[in-house]
Parts: sequence; C-alpha cells; structure tokens
Amino acid sequence: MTAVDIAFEVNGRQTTVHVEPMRRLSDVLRDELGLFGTKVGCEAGDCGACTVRLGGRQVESCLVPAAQANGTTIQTVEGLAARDGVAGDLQAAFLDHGAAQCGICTPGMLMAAETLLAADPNADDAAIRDGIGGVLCRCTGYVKIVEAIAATRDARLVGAATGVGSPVVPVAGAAVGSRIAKVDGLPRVLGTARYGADHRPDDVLAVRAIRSPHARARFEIGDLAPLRSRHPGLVDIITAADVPGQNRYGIYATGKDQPALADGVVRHPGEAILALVADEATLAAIADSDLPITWEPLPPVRGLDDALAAEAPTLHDASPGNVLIRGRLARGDVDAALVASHATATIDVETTFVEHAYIEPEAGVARRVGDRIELTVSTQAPYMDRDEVALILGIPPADVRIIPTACGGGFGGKLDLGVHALIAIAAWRTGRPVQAVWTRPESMAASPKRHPSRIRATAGVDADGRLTAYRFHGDFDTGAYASWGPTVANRVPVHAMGPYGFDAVLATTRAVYTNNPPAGAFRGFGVPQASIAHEALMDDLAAQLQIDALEFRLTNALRAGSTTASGQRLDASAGLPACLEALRPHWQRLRAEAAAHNAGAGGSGVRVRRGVGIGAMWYGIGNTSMSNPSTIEMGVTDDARVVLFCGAVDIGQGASTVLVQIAADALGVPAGVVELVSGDTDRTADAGKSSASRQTFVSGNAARLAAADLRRQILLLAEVADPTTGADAAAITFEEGRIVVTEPGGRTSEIDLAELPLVPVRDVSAACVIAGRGTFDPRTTPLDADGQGVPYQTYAFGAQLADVEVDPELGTVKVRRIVAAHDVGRAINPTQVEGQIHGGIAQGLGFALMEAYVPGRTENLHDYLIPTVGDMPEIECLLIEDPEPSGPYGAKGVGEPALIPTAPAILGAIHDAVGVRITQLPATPDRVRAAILARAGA
Amino acid sequence: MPAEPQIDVPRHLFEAYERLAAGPTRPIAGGTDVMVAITGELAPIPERMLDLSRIDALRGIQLEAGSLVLGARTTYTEIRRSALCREHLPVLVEAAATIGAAQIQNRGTLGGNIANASPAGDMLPILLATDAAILVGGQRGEREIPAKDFFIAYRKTALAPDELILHVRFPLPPGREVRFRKVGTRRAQAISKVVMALAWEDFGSTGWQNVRVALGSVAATPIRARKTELILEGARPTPEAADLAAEILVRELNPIDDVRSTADYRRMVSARILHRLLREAGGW
Ligand SMILES: Cc1cc2nc3c(=O)[nH]c(=O)nc-3n(C[C@H](O)[C@H](O)[C@H](O)COP(=O)(O)OP(=O)(O)OC[C@H]3O[C@@H](n4cnc5c(N)ncnc54)[C@H](O)[C@@H]3O)c2cc1C
Ligand code: FES
Ligand code: FES
Repeated sequence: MTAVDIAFEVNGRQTTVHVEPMRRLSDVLRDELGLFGTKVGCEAGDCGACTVRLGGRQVESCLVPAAQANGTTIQTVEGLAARDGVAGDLQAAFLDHGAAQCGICTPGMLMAAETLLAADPNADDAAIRDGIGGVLCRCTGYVKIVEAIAATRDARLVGAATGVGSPVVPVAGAAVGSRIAKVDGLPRVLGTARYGADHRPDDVLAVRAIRSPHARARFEIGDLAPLRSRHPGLVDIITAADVPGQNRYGIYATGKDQPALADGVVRHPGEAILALVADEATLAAIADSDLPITWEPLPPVRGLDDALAAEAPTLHDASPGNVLIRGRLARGDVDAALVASHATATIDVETTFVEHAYIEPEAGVARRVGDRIELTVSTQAPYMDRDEVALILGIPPADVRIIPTACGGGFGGKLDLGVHALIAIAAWRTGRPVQAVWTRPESMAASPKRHPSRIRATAGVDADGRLTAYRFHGDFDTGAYASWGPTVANRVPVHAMGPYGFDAVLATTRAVYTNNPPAGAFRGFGVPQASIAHEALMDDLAAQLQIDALEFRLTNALRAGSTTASGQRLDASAGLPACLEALRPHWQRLRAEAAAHNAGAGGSGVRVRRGVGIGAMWYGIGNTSMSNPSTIEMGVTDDARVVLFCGAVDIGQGASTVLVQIAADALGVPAGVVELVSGDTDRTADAGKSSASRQTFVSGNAARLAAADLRRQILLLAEVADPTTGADAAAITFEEGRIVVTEPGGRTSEIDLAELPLVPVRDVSAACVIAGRGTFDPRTTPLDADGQGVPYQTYAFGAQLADVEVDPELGTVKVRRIVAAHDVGRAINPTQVEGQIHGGIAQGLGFALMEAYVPGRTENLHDYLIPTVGDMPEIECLLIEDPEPSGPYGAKGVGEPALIPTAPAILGAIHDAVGVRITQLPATPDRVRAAILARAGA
Repeated sequence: MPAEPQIDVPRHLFEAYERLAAGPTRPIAGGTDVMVAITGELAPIPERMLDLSRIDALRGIQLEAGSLVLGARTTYTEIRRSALCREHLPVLVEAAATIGAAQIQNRGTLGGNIANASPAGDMLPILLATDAAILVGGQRGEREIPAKDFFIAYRKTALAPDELILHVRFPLPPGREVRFRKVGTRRAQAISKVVMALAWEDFGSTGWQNVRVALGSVAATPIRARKTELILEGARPTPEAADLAAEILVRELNPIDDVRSTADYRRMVSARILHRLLREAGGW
C-alpha cells in the first residue's frame, strides 16, 4: 500500500507522518510518534482507552483513519502535563484522589475529562458521568475518577493555578493509615508508564498464534515448505515438536496439562496450535487458510452435563470421568442436624463464565541474552512465570528473567501464562527480540475465566434462629486445562457455608474438565459463586422465622472465639459483627424508604419497585493450607538512598504503595524517602503472587520484617544503647553519604556510608552497604480428609447493602446505592482500600446483572458487557478496623473480599423488590422478567 | 489481516460520484462502523475507500418547505446541539443522546447509521415512524427513497453501490407527535435489545391518524408493525386501546434469540414499551 504524508498538530507541535492513509490514528500516535500514552484495549470503539482530543472533541483514535486526521489538531495525554514530568492539574487530581489504579484507562479518562471541562467548565456530576461514559475502567468503579474530575472543575472555577488536592506527605512513622498517593502513580497519570504493549525494541519480530476454530479436534500439520517459500519474510514456524523443553505447563506440580502449542489434539476453541514469527507486514499477509492444516473435528464436551455423562469422552487420560479434582469438608452429622432443624431451605444456583476484561490485553516482549531469556511482560506472578518459562524452554529457572511491566489490570487473569510461552520460544529459537500483543478477541478467547458453577445447598436453623447445618455441593467447569481449578476446588469447601457458625457442615466440590476455555483464577476463586447460595439461604431462613435478615446474620456471624467449619478457632480480628452493626442504621433507613416508595406507587405512572438486600462474606487471606512465603529486602546504598526490593507486583491494587508505607514506618523514615525496585526476578526476592488478597498481609509482614532488620543494623552501627522502636525511639535521617541517628536523649551519631563494605543483596547492581531481609509465611496446617485444620492464618470479613430499583415490566434493574462495610484489620491506605471496594463492587455488579461470556460468541467488549460509569450506584464505604495481631500494623487484605458480597446483596434486593429469587446469573432483564411472570402465573 | 485499503478524500460531490462510478468503493463518514468492521474482519476489506468528511454538501441541518432536512454527515453531537432539531423534532435529540457515548456521538453520523442498516440502528425506527425520505445521489442523478422502502433485507438497502446518501428529509406535519424509547442491559454504551418510535397525528375529534409503530432489534431490518398501527388508527390512547395494541404487537413480532436477548423478551418488552408510550400519551 502506498503511504502518504499526513500532517497534523499534536500537543502543540506541527507533525508530518508518512503512513498508509487507513492506518488507525492510535497506531500512528504510538508507532510513528512514540506517544505510547494513548492506549489500545479493543480497536473497536468499545473501551475508550485510545481517546484523544481531535479538533476540540473527544474521539476514539482507533476508529480514526490517518487520512481523516490530516490537517487537524490533536491532543494526547502527553499534552496535559504542566511541563516535562510534572502533572497538570487534572492529572494531579487523579493522583491525589486515587483515580488511577492500574492506570491503563487513565489516559483515555483524562482526555475525555479534559475535553468535557474545556467545553463545559461548570459541568455538574451528571455531565461528568455523561462525558466519561465511553471510557471503561475495570479497576476503580469510577467513583474516584468522578471525584477527581469534580475537584478539578471546582479548582478551575476558583482559579487555582496548580494541583487541586493537597498531596499527603506524612512524616516519619506516620505513613501507615495515611492517604499518600500511589508511589508508582505519577507515570500512570502522565501517560509515561510503560505497559506490556509499550516496549518495542528495534529489530523486534512479532509472533502470531494460529488458533483452533474447533472446541475439540484432532489435527495434522502438513508440509510447511511451500508456505516458507511463498513468504520469505517468515523467520520461524513453531509447532509442538519445536518446543525446546516440556510442552506441558500449569499452576500445580501435579496439574501440568496445558501445552504451549497443542500437539495433535485441541481441547478448546482458540487454543494455539502453531506460531508464525516474522515482521508484522509478513504476518499480516498470511491468511489462516494459507496454512496446511487438516482438521478432524470431534464432538465437543460443552459443559458440566456433557462432561459428567456416562458416555462422555475422556479429555485427559489422567482424569477418567473428567473430574480433575474433588474438594471436601465435613464436620458433624449434617443429615441428622438437618432432620432435627426447625426449618430448612434449599437452593440451586447456576453461574456462568465471567471474563476478567482487564483493559490491557496480554502483551510482552522476550529477548535472548546469551543462554538466558528475558521477558518484559505484563504479569501478576513473576516468579511463577519464571519457573514455567524455564520448564518450557528446558533451562534452569535462574536463566530466566521476568521483568514485569506496568500491569493494566489482572484480577487473577494474569496469574496464568499469557503471551509468555510463545514469545519465549520464538526469541530463544531466533535470537531476535519477539513481541506479542494479543487482540481483544484473542485475549477473550485464550485467557482463563471465572469458573461457571452449578451449586446445590441446604441450610437449617433451630427455633431460636440459630443456624444448625449446611450441606453444599458445587460443580465447577474448569475448562480444557487444570489452571487454578484445584485452588477453586479446595478454597470453596472452606468458605461454602459463609461467615456463620454451624454445628454440622458437609461441603463437596468437583472441578470438571470440558472443551471450554480454561477457567482459572478470578478475584475470589469460586467463593463469589458459593456466596450466591449461602446468602440466598440466609434470607430464606430469616424470612421463614420472621427475623430481620441483618439481625439473623448478626446472631449467627462468626466472631472472635468462634470455631469455623474447618475446626479453626478464630482468636481475633473477626469483625463481621462490627460490619453488620455499622450497616444497621443504613439498613433500617433504606428499608423504610423502599417500603414507603413501594406503598406510594400504586397509582398511575411506571410502577418501579424498590428493594434492599444484604450480603455478607468471609475470605481466607493467602493460599489455602499451603506455604506461600514472601521475602523482601531493604537496603541503604553507598550514596544514602533507601531502597525496597520488592518482588510483589502492583497490578493496580496498590501493593507497591502499601509496602512502602509499611516499610517506611518500620524503618522510621518518611515514605517519600523509600525508593522501590519492583517485581524484576533478577533484582528482587520471591514475594509470591499478587493473588488471594495476600500481598498486604504476607508481603506486608515481609516488608515490615525487612525494614525492622535494616533499622536494627543501622542502630547497631550507630552504637545506640537502646535499639527498640517506639514513639520515643531513635530517629534516623539520611544525608549525603551518611546516616545520622539521633537518640531520644539528644545524642547523635553518624554512619559514614563510604567506609562500609558492600553487602550482597539479590540485585547485584545495587550498591548496598546495609541491608535487611524479611520473610513471612502464614501459619497454616494441612487439611485432613475432612477438610479439618488451619487453612489460613487470618480472614477478611465484610457485608454490603444494595438498594435497587426494578422495573417489573421490563425486568431491568438499577442499583441505586451500595453501602459496604469491610473489616480490613487496619487500612494502611484508606484511599486505596476504598478504591478496592469501589472496584470490587463494580465487578460484583457486573457478575450479578450483566456479565456472561459465551465461548466463541462474546469475544469483544460490546457483546461482553462490563459496567460503565452509568451503571454504577452511589457507594458508601465503612471501614472497620479489627486489628489482626499477626498482620503488619494489624492489616489483612481487601482485594477479593470487596467483590464477594455485592452480587448476593443485589439479588437479595431484587427479591425484596419484586419477590423473585434469581438463581441463574447474570440476572439479565429477560431472566428477571421471566421470573416475575412465572411467579405471577404460579 | 489483509493489507490496508487506499483512500480518496474528495471535497466535492462530483468527485465522489466519479470515484464511486469507477469501481467498488466503500464510503467512510465517521468510521464508527467501518473501522470496527475492519478490526473484526467481518467482511472482505474494500480496496478503495472514500472519505466523506471533507464534503461540505453533506453537512447541515435546515428547515425546508415544511421538512427538517439533515445532511448525511450530521453527527449525533450536532443533532444533540441543534436548536432546530430540538424545536421541530426533539426525538432526534433524545435518540442521539442514547447512542454509544460521547466519542461515538462526536464521530458517528446519521448517514452512516442509515447506510450501515443494522437492525439495531437506533435512528432507523424514527425514520420509519416519521415517513422520512432519504435523498441519494450519484453520477446517474439524484432520487428520493422513502424510508419504508429503504431497508430491504438484513443489512441490505435500496442504495446502489455507486450512490451516496446525501440528506434525510423529515416531514413535519402539523399536529404530529413522535416518541422514542430504547431498552438495553447496560445504561451507557448499550446496544439496544429493543428500540421503538411511535408517531401519530391528533386533530381532536377523529382520534389518532397516521399512526406509526416502528421498531429496531426485533427483525432482520428495522420494521413497522402495521397490524398494530391499524388497531391504533382512529383510536384514542385509552387503557383498552393500549392493552389491545400491546397484545397485537406481541403476536405481530417475530424476533430471534441471540447473545443480547431472547425472542420472548424482545416481544414482551416491545409490547410493554408501546403500552407505556400510550399510557403517557393518554395521561392515565
Ligand atoms: C462503541 C460503539 C457504540 C455504538 N453505539 C451505537 C448505538 O447506541 N446505536 C446505534 O445505532 N449505533 C451505534 N453504533 C454504530 C455506529 O456508531 C452508528 O451506526 C453510526 O451512525 C455510524 O456512522 P458513521 O458515520 O460512523 O459510519 P461509517 O462507519 O463511516 O459508515 C457506516 C457505513 O455507512 C456507509 N456510509 C456512511 N456514510 C454514507 C453516505 N453518506 N452514503 C453512503 N454510504 C455511507 C459506509 O460505507 C459504511 O458502510 C456504535 C458504534 C460503536 C463503535
Ligand atoms: S482501543 Fe479504541 S476504543 Fe478500545
Ligand atoms: S484504573 Fe481504570 S482500568 Fe485500571
């Protein structure tokens, strides 16, 4: 194609590019002009990440052909900075308000907001929502984004020259509990943070996976020589036979069943069977139909029924009957206890595949460096990636380096290998850097999902309203490969009965192979599915006994001193009663308002009904009954810098900030002093995965121990008499080349850093002269055959209220308000805790009302719907701090807990409004309407 | 991933007509459908594209001899901000505000919505309900196609490959009322499950005249529900008439199940929306 000259002004500079006229403006900005701040999440107009200002209006640059940009004026996120590296006012407001979590949506949000405020300086909150309605955010629930924009509007109206908020800068010892801005936030609001797709070395090759159109098939690859000769630009063609190491990987040592490239058999649609390596133009010229592949489609196992049928084909030889794994917890005699119960209730629940829909599709680049391989990749689990890549290449783990990029959202989906295997193999074989950036449909076809589930549960209660027994069975569709299926099967039995005390429990699970895409880790590991059942049963039993649903939960809530169904005694930090008590006034007020509304709506007009529901949850922090240690180092360099070497990846949840806050206080320095090295497997120790809500608790403890160790050594060097910590302890300050220690009595001593020998830390490039190290592994025990033992050292608790409006004629549901109370032990950074709660609620709302992934059919963001700003309710957060004695400064975790109670609360509210219990998720308008009709007919 | 097409950027209609006459050429206006089609590789990618964005003759909103005339290149944002639309045909403003979000409204055009002819095109039922006419042109001359004859089959229109949509003419008969309703799962950026436009003329004594019930997302094309229209013709928006019309509509429609909704739901919701619009019109 002939390229032409296209001229436009971008960020105040006149620019000419020589490109094909139909090239997307997003590609021109990124690839031709290096303006990587403009992000690409879908190339279909759905996500808004690529939003720029063109001729004064916000447009999606992925939908603008270069030819149409000719002669226009364009502003991108890079054009919003006050000056180089300094945030403009809107950017500063995003930073101060915590409006950027992973930050991948931030450039698009900023451009939408800037355009809006320029056109309408008085935009009210409704106008702000309208203005950003086309930009999707999967992390924040939009709450803090709207706050940041409103704050900027107000500041501009009064003529404030610069930043709108006042950045929080706590003094030494005061970081924990303060609302400091994200330590890695500035580049995210400036648009300079580099994500998976933003690393493009010169000379880079692309790798393209050829994927199966069939769910289950045998295939043969014919002679590839003609393809090579027709496309001389092809550098490499990779098949299963070319995988250098083991062509089987997977999360668990016993569950390595997933090939990097399928070997003659495919087990899900979208499975990769072959990889082409070349420059992008060469790859673009090859159609899938050019490839010599002969398919023999086989009847697919489409879901649980197919897989569990007697005549079902066996998908993996190691698992006859297609059951990958079973989970079990048994305590007491459930049958007897149910028979003896005053009342019982039973429910069947069905949930579907849910897609993570992070706005950043999987992306990364691999380089071979001698006999080592380096992957710069978007991930939640660098150390696990390292071991998996080593396995696939057949090299020692030490020869693999994983350098995490800024991560544009994970939620569990980037705990599995994404682009890793193919870029690593291609770079290893060709010796050239190789990049892969998955398209949105590719990401949605090939990445793991939330397990669909089918659950049956029964609960019993005695005449006094005390719960007696709970029986639960859940089948989980784990898709084609094991992935995190075992985690789900083991975590669910522990949590199946909800955060309540029962005398007897029997909970069983199965993870079942099918020919669907692999189901893996997704915020909550099966617990959100199980919570639909237990919360519906609580509502049912409370209604049968005519007890208020909140009071019923409060009576039965686990609390300090309770024994869980796995036989673990909770000694402390079990704050569910406090959460419920905090919700009580809201509950009573909202119920009364809804009742008054419904009573008054008898006459004419649309008879919208309102209802209020409640959901409660608990969630064990860290891995189930397994060692999951974290090690963190902290050092002082010879030039007096304080560095935290932290292997925990910040996927937007704010781990980096929280760990810096903890380490700063434990060392006794202001948080602003601490520099961070994050995630790189060559420079940091293994802090485990950013999963299971474990980083605050587990890595937080490791960071605290590392900082305390460093402090102890500094005080020793300073020969301080009493090296204890505390309010009146010695103060440590860093000056050029030395540390000054001032004791409470006024005595000062100095440590001359130049005189100290270097000490080894994992990062060989770091010139550390003093270094501390901390390791923490939660105390758990193995579970016996009945699931008895100590699966987790501590648990998060929470409860939420949902106030909804249901249109009974159309079946549509609008969530008006959510009030969320969460016991987080200690809110290390309240802004971030709120952000996690808002984002969890947004995902919970999507799970409840709209999200349904259908393999092969909803592989884009217009058929797969996630909540927009227009779908979000008002949210009120009530932070309960029932300190966890073993937590860093009392903290636990909140990442997954925030999502769990939302859907049950919404479903309960629908029931309250129109009297129907939706048991098949999502509660789409057609299902709600059908349920209402069925009830009226019954 | 085939190679990228070539594109022409004419300023005048005659140049555009020449291009179209010279061979298969795909117009691009706001690109909000075309560029997505290219991503999705839904159809073979055309070799030649024709950018309409510089042709001023396709722009503008005017009153002409009792009609409101909108250029094919009119964007949804322009409709939302148009005082003429607000005054003479406010449903256009109402409908434009429900399309995509700001970015799509800034780029997407009325002509694109019509030529794309998606059964879920939100503006299309309004064209049917208002007896709009679509003015098209090419080297062979210009012609006006009534909206009711424009949408032939699934994504097929009466537009010839060498023609452009130039304008849309909305007649403004005195005493006519038009209403619009869209139902989707999501509250913003929602693709319709059902969209409806209802129009009638009311001269007091004779009951409703020239009733139009037009719907999107319930068939392969946007459609008019003629049997339901007949029921309402000469009627008044009473509860009885509304009940009957809703019942007839349910029987008249024959939608399909797809990932966005079920046939039953679409049928039922169409009836409920009609019922509501009639109730609102009747004030009961
Ligand atoms: C995220 C997103 C959300 C959307 N939401 C909605 C929605 O809510 N409701 C809705 O109805 N649509 C929606 N759309 C679809 C689309 O925006 C509209 O159909 C829009 O009106 C198309 O106009 P355009 O100018 O962008 O068309 P283009 O993409 O430029 O063109 C569309 C088609 O029309 C042809 N064409 C354009 N102009 C002419 C002309 N003057 N003469 C002849 N042929 C012409 C083109 O060749 C092409 O085939 C959405 C799209 C996206 C990407
Ligand atoms: S990348 Fe342009 S809208 Fe998603
Ligand atoms: S912060 Fe919005 S998508 Fe992550």
